[in-house]
Amino acid sequence: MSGQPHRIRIAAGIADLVPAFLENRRRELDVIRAAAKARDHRRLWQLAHNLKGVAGSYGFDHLSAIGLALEQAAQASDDAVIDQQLQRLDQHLASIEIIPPEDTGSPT
Amino acid sequence: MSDHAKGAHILVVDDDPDHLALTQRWLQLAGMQVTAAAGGRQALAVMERRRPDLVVSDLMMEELDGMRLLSAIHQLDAVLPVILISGQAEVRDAIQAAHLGVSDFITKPIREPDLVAAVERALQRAGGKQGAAVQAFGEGLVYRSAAMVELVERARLVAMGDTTLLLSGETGTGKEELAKAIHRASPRRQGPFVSINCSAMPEHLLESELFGHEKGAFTGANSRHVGLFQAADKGTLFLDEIGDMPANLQAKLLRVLQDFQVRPVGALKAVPVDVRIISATHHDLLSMVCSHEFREDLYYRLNVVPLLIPPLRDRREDIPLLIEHFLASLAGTKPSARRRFSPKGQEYLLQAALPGNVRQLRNLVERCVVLSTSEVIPDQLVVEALADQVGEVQSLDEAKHAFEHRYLVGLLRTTNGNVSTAARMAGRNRTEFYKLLGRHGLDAASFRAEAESAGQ
Repeated sequence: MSGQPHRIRIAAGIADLVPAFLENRRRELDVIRAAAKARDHRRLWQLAHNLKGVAGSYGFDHLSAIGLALEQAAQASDDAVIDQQLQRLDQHLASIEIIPPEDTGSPT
Repeated sequence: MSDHAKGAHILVVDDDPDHLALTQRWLQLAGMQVTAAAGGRQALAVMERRRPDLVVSDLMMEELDGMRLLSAIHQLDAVLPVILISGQAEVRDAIQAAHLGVSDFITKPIREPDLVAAVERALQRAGGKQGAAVQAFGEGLVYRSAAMVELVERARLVAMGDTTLLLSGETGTGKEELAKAIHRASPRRQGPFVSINCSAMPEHLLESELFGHEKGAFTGANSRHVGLFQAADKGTLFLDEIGDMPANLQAKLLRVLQDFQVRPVGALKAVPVDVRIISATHHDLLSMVCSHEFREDLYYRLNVVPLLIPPLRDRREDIPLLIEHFLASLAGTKPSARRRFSPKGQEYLLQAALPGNVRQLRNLVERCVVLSTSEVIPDQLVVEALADQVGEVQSLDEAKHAFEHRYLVGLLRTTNGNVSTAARMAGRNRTEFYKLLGRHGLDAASFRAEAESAGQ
């Protein structure tokens, strides 16, 4: 998975919102890491729950799926899975590539 | 997009800035005016300044969650539609929210078409954007529709003068309420408002009621009786169902309107009266004039300023306001007696035919409130109330017409469209029977064709 870009096409009407959205997710990664490190499962659940929702609404389905996995792991207080999902989240955020709305190239 | 949503003012509340920006953008792209609030308190502050048409709020917010915000919003405006957005984890909240009068519940992740459709639906149910704010004229005349705004503007204007008014409108549209409101807005407001239904009593009684009588004027007149014209002196006399006034009294009323003097039955002298006349009818008075059932000269005297009250079906946006008004007035001062309809229940009322207009709506709401043991009126009660009301508000003429129509159709079916046989069975001659069929738009030939195609 790492190294391979995740190309995501964004609807024209919201394209200008996406850079801030991604920037906030990258910033949030540190907060999620801190909660995981502190074994604060409740806080982690909240953050993951929010990530799942907001990423899904923006059309970042893969990111939303990681949020869901992290949410479930936090609920189960399964730290091994939490660490695994955190790594996945880190890699995925680094691999996202946005296709501008006017680009007609097919997404992968 | 529906007209209900175009330009509507939506308040979006979310403490996640990215989700807030997204919902704001989607609704803006759909042509709505959007104010964004980063939390419940900010939302309430916005609402104090400018009341939105609808609120879309996230359920899970740290500072003031959606459910508490909902309750605060409903304290400010009990009819404001609220849509809650939640993650899937809060299904229990969704159920609770439905009982607290949430218009809709959307689950994250949300999709643009789902959000826009939910907002449009909720706005439609609530009667559209409130650019035209909720208004009231007198008791019970609650409205927002352009048709009512126009009517009341006219009514307020004429209220200031002394002009004779004719209110027309279907049964139950609130003609008496409008007459009372005009009286209260008029310089005569300190004087009495006296009303009488001209169709409710026999001619001689109506005459005596209106004009009064002297002692011994007729058998049974044991004492002097002051008529309503005199009782309404310095005030307003409301003559309801004026179209049903007998011809003799029409002539007498015309004389009063000419010189504003009444002569009680059996009296020698006429007494001057200072009365404003507001009359009302659900009939088409002009066509009654054409058919000589109503005096033309009286019609023009009464109809100096005509005011037509639109039926409820032409101003459906007023229905949610009226429902809320009735719910509040039925609860009186006891908050524990306050009932509300679920969005679904409200929709049933919105879609109902309501031929009995405001009066029928009030009866429906009252029945549901009386029978409901829970704060949220069960939808089934609404369904039953609506089912029981079918036909109940038909006038005698309408009921007769409907019966006649069913009877004729049945007769033509039985006789396979044979007019001679059908006429004989109905006890009418052929010419009369043809006229009858013509009045009901029935064609005997089509029944013959129907019978032939059925192989009879």
